[in-house]
Order: sequence, then structure tokens, then C-alpha cells
Amino acid sequence: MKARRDGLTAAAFLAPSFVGLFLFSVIPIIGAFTISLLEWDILTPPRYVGLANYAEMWNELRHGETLRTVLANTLYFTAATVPLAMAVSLGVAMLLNRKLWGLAAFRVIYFLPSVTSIVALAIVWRLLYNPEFGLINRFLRALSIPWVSGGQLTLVPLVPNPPGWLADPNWAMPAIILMSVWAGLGYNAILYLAGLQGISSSYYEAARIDGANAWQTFRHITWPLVSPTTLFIFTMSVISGFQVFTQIYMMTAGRPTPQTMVYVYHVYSQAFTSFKLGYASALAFVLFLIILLVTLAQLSITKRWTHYGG
Amino acid sequence: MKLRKTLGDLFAYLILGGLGISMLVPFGWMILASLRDKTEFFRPVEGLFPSGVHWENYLQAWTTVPFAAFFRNSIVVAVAVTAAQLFTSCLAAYAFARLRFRGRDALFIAYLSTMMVPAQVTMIPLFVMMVKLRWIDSHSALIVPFVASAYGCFLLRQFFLTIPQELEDAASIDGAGHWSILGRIVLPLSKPALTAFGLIAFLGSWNSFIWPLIVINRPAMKTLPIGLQSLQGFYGDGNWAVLMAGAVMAALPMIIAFLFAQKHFIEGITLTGLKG
Repeated sequence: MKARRDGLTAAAFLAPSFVGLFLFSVIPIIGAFTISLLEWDILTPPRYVGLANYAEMWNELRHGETLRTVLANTLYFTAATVPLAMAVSLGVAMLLNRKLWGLAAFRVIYFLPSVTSIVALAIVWRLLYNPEFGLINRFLRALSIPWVSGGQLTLVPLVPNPPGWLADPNWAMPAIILMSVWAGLGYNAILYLAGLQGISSSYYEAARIDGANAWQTFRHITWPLVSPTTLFIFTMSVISGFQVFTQIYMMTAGRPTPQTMVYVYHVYSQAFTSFKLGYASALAFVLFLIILLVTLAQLSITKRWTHYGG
Repeated sequence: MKLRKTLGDLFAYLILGGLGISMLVPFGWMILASLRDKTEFFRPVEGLFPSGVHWENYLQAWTTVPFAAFFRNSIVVAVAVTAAQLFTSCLAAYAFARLRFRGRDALFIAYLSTMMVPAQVTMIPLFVMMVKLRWIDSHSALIVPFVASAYGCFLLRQFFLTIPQELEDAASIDGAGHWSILGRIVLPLSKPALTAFGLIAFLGSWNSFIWPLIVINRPAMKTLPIGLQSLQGFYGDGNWAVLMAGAVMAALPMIIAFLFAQKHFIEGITLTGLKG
């Protein structure tokens, strides 16, 4: 009797979220796969083409066309952003973890970009990166060392010709990477700080009594005990690296073509500029599989690799 | 030993301070640039500080694109999404944490697995859905697809499980049903989790970009992020001062909210981290 009453109540309690998730998550997943089997521009009736869109992706990959460049750029962005962001944020978190006066203010400062719309940040960074009058190049041009030549003391500029950043094919991606690391630093550092604060101080006291130096303490206590956080941040960062879109859309729109053309930008422009909904859905569905694999890998590694405790 | 500690602290301040400055410079530059005369950007030598304070840049940004409408849309959408997600998540979380019914654990795992689905995968079918429903250029398109949050259900369930069952058992003996237990005992005790999740939900909706970009075309229906994007589309590299004024106006509300409620924001983020 009790169980049945709970069942009815449960149905009532679950109905709103269930309907929402079913209509707007589950159905669209099925929809994404279904659309990926079509050739469709939304205006004219769709045509069933089987796996042709996936075959087209495979062909592009094999013959080094757009998709290969897009994947390479996305991997470049992810492979550079993730380790850089993790190293800097762990360093910052370790410094923030010292009980120092005024550290709360730093926590607020580092976190500012995380609450700010990335659109606003991207606009500011476009100005900072401006080749002629951007703050970064003005600073680089002003950097100089005193030098004696011909009996006269002169200032020799260290970087007389700074890069064109977003306008330069070689520097556009590094510029976006730097901006993205900057923007995500506070978020990752706060996560790391929470992980570090979970480590019992008795470990550090034991290490101090044993005469461990700073590196040994880091290597044998901090790093292993903070590893659940590391793995979490790593997985989340890889996933969001594959999903990078807004700063690219705002800062370069894929230019200098195709140096900053990334995966989601490709999906977006195939779907909503070229109106190739079928092909774009196939791209999106493959992204889903990639992210699923990364997540499953994280789950299986978590079980073996991380040390829980502290 | 004492000396080493002092040197270490000094080192910490130096690094944190240096990096802290690099965190603040873009924000400071955004404000300084927003007050400049628009021609100042194109002169070869230009000082760090503006020659005069040009508030009219703000007025120009406000009137070039319908900024007031952007604010109204962003507020309406973010409040509605947050309220809806809190409502649906609380109910589901209570069912998962406290009710006994068949298939509970399987259903919970099904909820969790929807979190793995990236928004970029569902956006094309959702766009088709919005077109069929004739919801393009409406608030419904920005609100209705986001009324439920699997993450919210998960987060609140974990929190509800930490509340001692005895309180509810006592209320139950006094004849209280599940609705009143949820409303009178569980929710009041869950304020920290509700605040944290509410803030995260609000922030997510407020700053969301790609979805509004797809389903909103009419300027008067745009939210702040895509409205600001349209201001950049309008000026390109032509008028940096007005563009920066727009960026300041778009960024400021959330920055002020964060400065006042930073403890809650950071708690929310730390809770997110517990997922690992």
C-alpha cells in the first residue's frame, strides 16, 4: 500500500523534469541522429541518404579537406589550453591555499572573467590584440634595453615588430588560447583550491618532520591527493576545448581562414550558414561520440588512478 | 624556518599580484577605452588615459542598438529559466532522495546520462522544433527548452540526502504529506544548495550565446550577449569607444552581483566541482 502511494507521488514529483528532459534532450538526440541520415536545407523536403553524410566526413578526413583542418585546429586548441590552464590554475590555487592576509581579494579578482559574458571579454581582447594600437603590442614595442653603441647610450627595442595576433595566421590561434586560459583561470583555480583544502594538514606535518623539501611534498602528497580534482578539471577542460565556439565566433570568425576554424564553428556554419542540416548533424553526432568516449575514459580511470583519502 | 616562511609568503604575494594585475588590466582597459574620444584610437601616439571623459559613448551604444530591450530580455529569460529549473529540480530531487518507487535508480542514471549530451548536438533538432512551433524570435524559444536541468536534479538530490531523515519521520507521524515535508522541512534546510544552484543556473542562462544566436534574429528580442555581438557587427573596428561602452554595460550587472554575493558564487562553483 505504502509503495503504491509513493509511486503515484513520485510520478507527480518527477513529471515536470521528466517531460522537460524527454522533449528537449532525449528527443533531440534521436532527432540529431535522424537528421544526420538526411539531406535537408529545412526549406525543401528532406531526402533520405543513409550514411552518406558520415561517408562525406570520412572522405574529407582522408583527403585532407576542411574537416581535417578543423579537427587539427580543435586538437591544437585543446592540447595547448588544457595543460597550460591546469598548470597555472594549480599554481595559483597552491598560493591561494597559504593562509595569507588579503587572499580573498585575489580570489575575487581571478574569478571576475568567469562571471563576465565571454562576448564582452572577446571584444576587449580584440582591442588588446589590435596590431597597431592594441595595449599588448604597445607594451611589446616599448620593451627595450639600454645599449651603448658608438659611444652613445641608446634604447634598443626588444620586440620592434610584434606579431599581428588575430590577423596573423601563425599567431591567431595562440592569441585565442592565451585569452581562453586567462578567462578560465579563476574557475579552475577555485576548483583546485577546494581540492587542496580537502587535504588533511597532518600529511604536511608528517612530511615536514621527515624533512621533505617543497618538491617532494608536492610530488608525494599534494599531487596524488589532489588527483580527483585534476582528473575532473582535465575531463571538463577537454570537453569544453572540443566545444570552443564563442570566443572564436567573436574574435576571428574562423579567420585567417582556416587557421582558427574549430569543430563547433564548423557545425554552426554548416548548419546555419550553408543550411546543410544533415551534414552538420552528422558532425555534431560524431562530437557527441567523442565526448562520450572522453567521459567514459574518465570514469574508468577515476576508479584506478586517483587516490581518495585525506 | 621563519625566514623561509616570510620569503615564501613574499613570493606568493608577488606571483599572485603580478597575475592579478594581468587579470584586471583587460577590465580596466575596457573602462578607460569606453570613455575615450573615438578618434583617439587611430592616432599614432596616444596616452594610457583618455584625454577627456566621453560619456556620450554610452549614450551612443545605448541608442545604436536597443540596449534597454536586451536588458529586459536577458532578465526575463534568466529569471524564468532559473525559477523553472529550481522548481522542476527540487521536485525531482525529492523523489530521488526520499520516495520509494520501482525503477528509481535506473531512472536516476537515465537523468544523469542526459548531462553527457553536449548542447551542440541537440541544437539542430531543437532549432527545427522551434521553427515548427513558430517560436523563432520569441522568449519561449529561450526559456521552454531549458525548464529542466538534470544537473540541478543531481545536485539537489545529493544535498537532500545529507538532511537527517528523523526530522521528516517526526513530521510524517504528525500527518504531514510529502508536499508539506518538502515545503516546510527540506527546502528551508537546503537554502545553501538552492542559492548555489540558482546562481549557476542564472549565470548560465544570462551568458548563453550560441542558442540565442540561432533562434533570435529580431533586434528587439535579443539578449545581452547576442545584442552586444550585433553592436560589434554594426561598428566592426570603426568605433572602439562605443563598442567598449557596450561591453561595459553588458558586463557590469553580473560583476556587481558577483562582488556582492561572491561567497555564494564561489560556493556554487565548488559544488559543481564535487561532481568529480
